[in-house]
Amino acid sequence: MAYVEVKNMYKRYKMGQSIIVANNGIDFSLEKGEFVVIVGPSGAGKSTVLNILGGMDTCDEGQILVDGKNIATANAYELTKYRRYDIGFVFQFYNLIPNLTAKENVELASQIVKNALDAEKVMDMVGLAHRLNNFPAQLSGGEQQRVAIARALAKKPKLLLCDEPTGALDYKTGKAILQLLQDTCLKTGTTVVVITHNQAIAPIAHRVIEINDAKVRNMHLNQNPKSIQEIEW
Amino acid sequence: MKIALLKDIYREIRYSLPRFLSIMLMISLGVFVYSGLKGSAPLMRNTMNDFTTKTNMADLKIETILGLDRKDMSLILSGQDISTAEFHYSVDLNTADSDLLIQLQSLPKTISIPYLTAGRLPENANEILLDHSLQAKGYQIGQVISFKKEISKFRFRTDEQENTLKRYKFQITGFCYHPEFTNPNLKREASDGLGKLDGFAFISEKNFNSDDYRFARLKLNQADGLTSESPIYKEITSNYKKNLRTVLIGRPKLRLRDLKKEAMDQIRDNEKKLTDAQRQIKDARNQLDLANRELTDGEDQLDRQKKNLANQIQKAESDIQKAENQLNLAKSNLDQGLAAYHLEKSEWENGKKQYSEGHLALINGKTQLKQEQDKLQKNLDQLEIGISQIEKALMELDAAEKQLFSALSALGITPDAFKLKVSTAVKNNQTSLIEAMGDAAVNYAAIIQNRQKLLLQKKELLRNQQKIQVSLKMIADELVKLEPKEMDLKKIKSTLDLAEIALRNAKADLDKGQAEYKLGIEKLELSRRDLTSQVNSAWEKINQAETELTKARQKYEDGKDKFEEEEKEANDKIADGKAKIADAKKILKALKEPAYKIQTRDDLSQYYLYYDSAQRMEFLSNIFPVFFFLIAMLVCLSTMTRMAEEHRGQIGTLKALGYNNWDISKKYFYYGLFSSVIGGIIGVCLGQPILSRAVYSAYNDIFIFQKPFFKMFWQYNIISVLIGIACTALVAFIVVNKHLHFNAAALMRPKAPKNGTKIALERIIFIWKRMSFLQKVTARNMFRYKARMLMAILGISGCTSLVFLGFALRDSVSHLLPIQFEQLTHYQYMVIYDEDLSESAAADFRTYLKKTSAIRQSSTIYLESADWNKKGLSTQTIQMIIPQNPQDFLELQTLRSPENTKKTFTLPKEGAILTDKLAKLAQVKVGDTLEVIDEDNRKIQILIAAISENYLGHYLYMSKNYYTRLFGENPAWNAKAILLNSDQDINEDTFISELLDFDVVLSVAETNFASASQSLESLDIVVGIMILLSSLLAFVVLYNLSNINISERMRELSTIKVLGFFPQELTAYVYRETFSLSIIGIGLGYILGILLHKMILEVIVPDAFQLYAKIFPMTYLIAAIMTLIFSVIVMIFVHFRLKRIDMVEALKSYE
Repeated sequence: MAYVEVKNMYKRYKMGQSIIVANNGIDFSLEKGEFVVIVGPSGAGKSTVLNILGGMDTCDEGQILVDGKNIATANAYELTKYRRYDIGFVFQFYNLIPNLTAKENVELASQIVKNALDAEKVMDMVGLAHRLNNFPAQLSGGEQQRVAIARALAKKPKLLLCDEPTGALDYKTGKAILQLLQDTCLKTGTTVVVITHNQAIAPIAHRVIEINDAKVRNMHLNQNPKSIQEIEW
Repeated sequence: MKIALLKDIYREIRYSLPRFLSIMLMISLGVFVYSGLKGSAPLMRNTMNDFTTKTNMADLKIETILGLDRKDMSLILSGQDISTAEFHYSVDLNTADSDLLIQLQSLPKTISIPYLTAGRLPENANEILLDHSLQAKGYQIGQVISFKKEISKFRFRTDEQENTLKRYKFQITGFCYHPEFTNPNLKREASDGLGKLDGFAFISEKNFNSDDYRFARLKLNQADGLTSESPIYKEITSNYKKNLRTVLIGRPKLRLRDLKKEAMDQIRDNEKKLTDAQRQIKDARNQLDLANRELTDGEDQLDRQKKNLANQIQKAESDIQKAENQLNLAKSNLDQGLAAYHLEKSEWENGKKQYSEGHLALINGKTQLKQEQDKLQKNLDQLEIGISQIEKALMELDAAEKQLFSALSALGITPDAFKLKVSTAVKNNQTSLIEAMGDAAVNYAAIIQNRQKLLLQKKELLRNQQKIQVSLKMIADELVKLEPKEMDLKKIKSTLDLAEIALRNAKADLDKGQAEYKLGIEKLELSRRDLTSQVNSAWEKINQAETELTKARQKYEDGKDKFEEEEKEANDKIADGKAKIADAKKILKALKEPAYKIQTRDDLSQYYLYYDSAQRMEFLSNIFPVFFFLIAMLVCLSTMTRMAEEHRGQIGTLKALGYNNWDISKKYFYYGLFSSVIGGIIGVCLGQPILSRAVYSAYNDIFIFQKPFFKMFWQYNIISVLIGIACTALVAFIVVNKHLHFNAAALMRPKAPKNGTKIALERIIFIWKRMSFLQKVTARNMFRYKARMLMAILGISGCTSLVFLGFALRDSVSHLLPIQFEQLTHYQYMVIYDEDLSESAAADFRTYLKKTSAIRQSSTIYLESADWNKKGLSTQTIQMIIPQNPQDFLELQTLRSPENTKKTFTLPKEGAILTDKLAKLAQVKVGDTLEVIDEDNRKIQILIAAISENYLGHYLYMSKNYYTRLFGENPAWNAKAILLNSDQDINEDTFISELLDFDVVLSVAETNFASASQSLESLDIVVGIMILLSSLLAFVVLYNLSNINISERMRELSTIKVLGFFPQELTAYVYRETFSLSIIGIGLGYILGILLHKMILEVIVPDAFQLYAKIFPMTYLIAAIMTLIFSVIVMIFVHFRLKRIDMVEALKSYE
């Protein structure tokens, strides 16, 4: 039994008269502690998969087993709990609370979880120990994303889901972020799933899932994932 | 292009319907409230003005209790500027059946005409037009209404007591309203101390007998076209009133002088009558004495004559008497003899009778016996015959028997055996056996039977024969007995004959004697006759004398009767005269100068009160709707701003595409325009028709017109809609244009979210450290959007303050009466009286007050009213109360300090106690003097020794010494404050009418100020409406602000949701801010509310009244709770909205 198993998942949207199928029978599974990269062109359905996996959306058909629990049949309350305790999400546009300092943004997450990591410690983990009391407006993009990652990690989630985390960052900063994610995955053993449309990143992952046109076209494992430093694009 | 724009606007509306509707709602509410409330006072005024115009109400009314005489009339008409004038009669009467007090006036022709509500005006003298309110009491058109003749305490008792009206029965032709009676619930005082009027009526002028008119109504040229409450009009009429007062200034004195002259004349007349009467008595007395003397003389003479005659008669009579005695003796002898004779005669007759009887009896007896003898003999003979016959028959039977037996023996039958057989059978009655034995036996049986019969018969006859023979012997014996008797009878007869002869002789003697007596009698008669004639002549003489005497007596009697009559007459006249003199003297004493009451429209308190209420209502309508509108506009402003913000990107795109500014902002302009116009139209359609009418009906208790003459006041509608449009369309336009100053690219970039900064509170490390994380978050969020925070606080505090105000006002109104009447004024009635009107009635009145169980306590006071003037305010009337016994009075009225209710006052030696409302109006404090104008128009300076708490009316309390010193005269006690016994079940109307029955009682006033409480009740309703609308506003404000709040922070909230906040936590995250703002808003609202309350209390209440200023803790509580409830309700809505947030949509990148 894989850590995460997605079986036969369908997600359809009704737009007036037409039905758009975002996920047309998605199947894949993930192992614990894997660094997973999901690649595919725009509009392929990647974000949809991540959103559903992250408990932000529900699928119309299929099973999603996370650590033995099928979240496809979970109700709103159970999904909230799932998001609260089991998931850490990182967005493309950081989505930090502008009114709170970096540390408080992390505390926002750690307040709602028992046995959370200490906010300062996590900030230190992401290399922002010196930026605890700055507001997001005072941080650069990379720093903001780090805070977002810290926020996600503070909860000690089962899955760390990242939707195009480097999309709004420049080359160097993006690389740094990816490094951070990779390190986190290896050091803490958190299962990390990253969505990107940049194929070049694929080698750093343990598992690469290719989604195209609402279906999983290809999934392969990397026996020896490369370090991000070795990748150039 | 146009169609695309319209489509766009339509879609925009559809997709943001809540926003569109909320703006529309806000505008319609704002317009509704503004237009509706602003239009209320004009509506009230308009209705009254219409009514005034339609009835051509008088500008001035002049009335005097004595009536206007010729001189008065000419003085009044001499004024310049009079356009029309009418003079009228009036009288107050009770109805016969229901005892309602009605004021009957002569029908107005053109000034202050009645306003018909049913039927028609009276055309004939016997018709009447009634007050509309009487219709509810059961009177109908066509019914005949009759009135009782008037009674008045003030009328002079003239000899010719003429009735005021020619008739007292009228037929009802219709019902009406009248401008002098505009408040159906407030009764006016009748003029003659009769009590309160229950209604009015109009009849033809011809019905009144009086020469003097009761009042005059004037219309002024200058006042034409002006409305009652315009200041110019008020000035014109009050000036005219002043002039008129000056013109009539000498009249009261003159009238009083005339009246006094009339009274003096009457006194003189009556005094003359008194002297006349006295003289009459004297004359009559003289006559009587004369007659008496004559009579006495005559009587004496007569006595003497009578005596003489008596003597003479006596003598003659004694002579006659002697003769008579003799005769009588003779008579008695005769009588005796006659009696004896009769006795004997009757004896003799008895004897004769006996003899006859005996004789007859004897003869009869004898005859009878002889007859009997004959009869018996005859019978005997017959019997013998019979016996011989029977014997013959027997012999025949024997023969037959013999024959039979021979026959039988011939047949060989032994006769003996046969005889035996047959006789035995016969004895045993065996007829059949006999028949069986044959004919011979039958024959023999017959023979036996016959023989037996005949033998029996013979026996019988022989027995009879014996009897007869015995009888015959007896008779013979009897006859023999009779013989000696016959001898006796013969002897008797002869005796009787002898006696008869003797009697005859006696009779002859008697007759003789009788004849002699007769002669004697005749002699006596003669002598008697002589005497009689003598006596008669003497009597005649005496009679003559007596007749004369009788005449004289008659004369005397006549004289006496006459005297008595005249004495009675004279006494009556004297009594009458005395009474009239007493009356006249009293009335003379009680006469005061008659007041000429000159009233402008303002002076009619009912009429004035209505305008006054409208004015105060207007003040409220200047505050509340403005406030309301302001808040509503604030919300619209923020909503439109938000809208423009949200469309930032779109605007930028359009700009990038090359649209010009106007084209871009058109959409938002029209969006705002549509919502505000539709909202405005709704508000206009509902505002004045509903709200103005509602406010109007709150006041219709004090006005006869239950429904207004409705008119739309377009100025308010237009203003409010324009403001609404300005706040939406114009604002949208401006905000969009503000955006359009930036270039397209900048617009298309997402607006940088407002930077978070440290807030001031953070620096207070002491507090900041102690706050929980989420509390810190809330604090930061609150202060981040300062503008919105302020708006929220403002909005909430505004609404809270309005709700607070509403409840505080209600409290002020509702507590007023209990405080005034439970804590301050304990008496319920003030009875005005004048002891001089009747001593006896005054004494009765005093006794009544002491004895009646209905009254618990009464206190005598002197009551006088004084006026206080100040420019800009209407004249205030102050009641001055001077108690006879201060201690007693203070039990009925508590005087205490308004600031410290435990501090009570007693009457000071120097100075007076003034009630606090007037002290405020006059701006006087303790130690200052107040200048008032008393009833005689003098200016008096009164020292204010203390200021007491009071809510209804103005009062000055002072000791009698101070009064005397100040006014220069002693107080003449003229009123009683009365406290009723609460454990008696007293019918108030009966009590009042009992009091009014006393001639000395002029009026009875209740202290509960019916009109004030009515006007306050109306206020209550208006305030209720206010509270309702404020609540609605509060709700909408909170809802709107919360929604804007959420819309602006959608991304942030979605992130938190993604983080795994439960729905409650998410709602709490937002709600904590709202709640904190609400608390601050409530606090501010309290302050605002208290200020508003204070301000309104000063203005809303008529000058003579105050509302209770204290605000109760409950008000604070309710205002807070209501606000919090709304915020909770809003939170619930917010909760559901947050729950429905689609995280994915909200967090979608800007791509």
